[in-house]
Amino acid sequence: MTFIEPLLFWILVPFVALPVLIHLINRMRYTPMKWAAMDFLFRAKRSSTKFAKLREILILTCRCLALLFLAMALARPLSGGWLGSAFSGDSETVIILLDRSSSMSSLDDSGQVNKVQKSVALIQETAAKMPSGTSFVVIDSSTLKPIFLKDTKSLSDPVLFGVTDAGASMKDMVSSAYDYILSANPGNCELWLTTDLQMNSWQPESQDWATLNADFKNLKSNVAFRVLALSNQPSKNKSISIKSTRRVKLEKREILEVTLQVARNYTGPETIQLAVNLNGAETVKQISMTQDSLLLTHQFELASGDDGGFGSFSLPDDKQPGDNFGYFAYGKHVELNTAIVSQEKHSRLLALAAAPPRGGFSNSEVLDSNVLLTKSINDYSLIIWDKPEIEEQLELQLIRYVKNGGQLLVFAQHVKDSKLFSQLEFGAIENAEEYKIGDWNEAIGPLADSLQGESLPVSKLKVTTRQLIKSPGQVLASYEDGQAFLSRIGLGRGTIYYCSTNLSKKWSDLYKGAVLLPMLSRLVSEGSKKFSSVYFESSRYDQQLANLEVLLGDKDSAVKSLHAGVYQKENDVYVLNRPAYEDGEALVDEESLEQIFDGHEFSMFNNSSSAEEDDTQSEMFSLFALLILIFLAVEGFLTLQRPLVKEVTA
Amino acid sequence: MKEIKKRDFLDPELLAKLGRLTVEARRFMEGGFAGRHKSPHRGSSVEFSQYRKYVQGDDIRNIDWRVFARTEKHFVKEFEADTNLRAYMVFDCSGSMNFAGEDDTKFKFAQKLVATLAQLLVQQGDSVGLQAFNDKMIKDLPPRTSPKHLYAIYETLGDLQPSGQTDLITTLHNLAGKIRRRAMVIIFSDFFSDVNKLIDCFSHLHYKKHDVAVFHLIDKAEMEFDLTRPVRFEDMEGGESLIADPASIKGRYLKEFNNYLKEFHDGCLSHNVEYHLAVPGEGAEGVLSEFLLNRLRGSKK
Repeated sequence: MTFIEPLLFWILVPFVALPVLIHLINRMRYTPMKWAAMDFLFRAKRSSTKFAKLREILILTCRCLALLFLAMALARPLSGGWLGSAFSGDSETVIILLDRSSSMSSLDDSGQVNKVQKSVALIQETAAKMPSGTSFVVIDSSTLKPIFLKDTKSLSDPVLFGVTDAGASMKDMVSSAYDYILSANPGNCELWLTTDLQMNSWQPESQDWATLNADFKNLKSNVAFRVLALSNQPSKNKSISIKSTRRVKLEKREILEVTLQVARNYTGPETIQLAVNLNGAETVKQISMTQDSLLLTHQFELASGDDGGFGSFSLPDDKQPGDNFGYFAYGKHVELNTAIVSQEKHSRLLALAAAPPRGGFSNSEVLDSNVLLTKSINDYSLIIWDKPEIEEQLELQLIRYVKNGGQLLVFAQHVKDSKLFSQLEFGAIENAEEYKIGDWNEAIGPLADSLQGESLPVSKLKVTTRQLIKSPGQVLASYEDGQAFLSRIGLGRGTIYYCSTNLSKKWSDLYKGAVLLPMLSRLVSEGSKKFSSVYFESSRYDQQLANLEVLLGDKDSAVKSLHAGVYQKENDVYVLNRPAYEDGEALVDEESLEQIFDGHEFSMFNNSSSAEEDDTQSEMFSLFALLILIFLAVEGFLTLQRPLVKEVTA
Repeated sequence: MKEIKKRDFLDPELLAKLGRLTVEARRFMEGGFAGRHKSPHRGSSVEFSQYRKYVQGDDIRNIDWRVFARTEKHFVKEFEADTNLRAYMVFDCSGSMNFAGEDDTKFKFAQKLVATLAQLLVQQGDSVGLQAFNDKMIKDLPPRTSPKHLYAIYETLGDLQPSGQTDLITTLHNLAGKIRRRAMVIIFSDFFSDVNKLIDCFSHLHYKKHDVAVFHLIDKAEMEFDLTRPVRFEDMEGGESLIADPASIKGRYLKEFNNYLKEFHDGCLSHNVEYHLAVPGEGAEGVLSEFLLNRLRGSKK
């Protein structure tokens, strides 16, 4: 339990002893009286002493408790406070898991304090009341490294422990804590987890939690989990995120298309001022919103010969400043080429799908494998292999191509038990009336949902013939029977994709294009990244991203990769934005957390909002007022109650 | 010049009111003189009692010759013997008798009762003695009839001071052993002793055929115990003191006290001891007139 006025509480607490003091003074201030019938007094005292003492103690207890609750009520108690729930008293080490992710930038009602600052303040307040000798270790969501704290005051350092634009994985943080406990063996521990309960940070469905839970049970140390949840979300929040950038050459014009998404957690028509920055030139764009989300493409006219630049989109300040910025950058114009190695009739369809006539930015050509050997193979963004055999020399070249960042898509072969690119070992060819695709990754990969959030019609694909692969790598889509439809294997900077069917009508209706077209487009786009010196990444702690030079963004940050912005490292440009999952609004509930920490000592304090805090405080006041009344009533009853005496007439 | 002592215990108004009443004995008395009370012996009063056959040794003056003339047999005519009574005023002078609530002390109240009764008894020709005691006999004035003796009783009463502990039990047993002839024993005390032992004393007195009456001196404050603030109770007879919150023990105290009163009262009745509760605040007239009238009616309490 915490108090809004703790000082007042400590001032009033001594008054609790007042009834005892008065009682003692009264006992000392007795009146002497000569008495004749002493025997009766002694007998009465002897027989009533036990009851009288008990009654006296009860009366005094009631009075003291009434005063104590009055003191507590006046000190404005908060129910289930973090102090009350966090403090168990017998822990030797407190490991603070500090969520510094972008979503923790949410400000309180005053607009001054974000969730990281608030959680730090609560931790410091609690730590001050811990027994001396308690050790404090902090593991923050960005570095995941345990740092021993001399005292919790250093948590106030905004550079080391301030909010970042990086994501957070509670699972990784708890895992880091486990590693620390295992290595340091710090005795009984409490894990204080600060969180905004974001579902994406917790991923309660993950199987890793069960493993972690079991690991913690096997520790010698007793570990208690205390969750400090700050789940309040601003009632009106807008966010912006950059979805893609594309440099297009349309005849003589060069256009930079930036697709961005503006989202908000409320509805109603609204005109939003969008600040646009391109290479330092700032303009304002007005957009009208009626729905909760708007996907829009902004076109910048680039000067001929523009070798690259950067910019940002930003929204006016609101209660969650961490999601009001989106950064982008672009490099010089690159031609996107796709090579299709196929002797099948449907190769023309593949060429069309890889470079749609009105796409305006890519080319495709159907080649024989011999011809490909003569070409500069690394100039291709994507190579599609739709042929049963491969020459050894070309195979080695293609492996090098992939390792250099190229994308290679291989369609099912016709030769059983063959092997390609040292990675793909094919199995039997199977036929059926129809193989339905039951599951596919809609978040990442070539079959991911569109920017508008629409799913590709993968489930409608009709596959009649398929060739299974023995070691599929990462499965991106699978049939209803669990066999892989599309899988990928990372190799160096590039990726080999394997599709278990092909465009032949005898095999599937993939030729219809509804799935094929976006799939190839995305693979081409992915393959083009190797030509660019611009890298789009999520803000994170990464040693390889040390020594970044700030082109756009917060120049004062200590670890720059933790903050969104545009950075340069040698000849490469890094665009760092907060991870998309940080915009998720879904929250994990207490029940799920209890399940995660099942079998361990667990408590959760949800400091959801200041308004609720007042409610809680008020509710507690009523409770204390009720307790005071109860104890006064009991006291009154005990005071007035006398043993009934039968009158005896002599 | 002889000092004139003020005797608060003598109340002329009270004596005037009670002066017409007499103190009657409930049992036969054996006095030294002729008086108004019945004796167990045959005497020469005017009240005929019975005839009986003459036996050798009888005074021939008591033969009824008229009966002899009619029957030629010798019969002796017997008459009731009236005698005076000898009253013993047993007066408790222990420290506890000095207790006073809002009224007079129990001691002063008892003085008034003793003096008034002594006056009435002497006035009707009976003998009165005074036995003042605490843990021992302080004064032992044997019963006498003369006004001079009454004066001595007053003197003694005036000189007495309540102090010390009580040993009522021994006193009463000694007294029962000492009084050889039937007498009236009137005891004035708060009787804060063991009830069973007291009843034994009364049994002893009753066995000796004495007419016993007790005036139980209890103060209103002792009966009501209406105290509020914490009190250090100091034993008036020099015993242990006690600090207590009266409110917390009042119930138990009253229960114990009332039980005692009832037990004592019932004990008195069962041994033919006349019981009177004498509360100082309620005045002497009430309790004395009740005592006298009861006796006049010959009723037993």
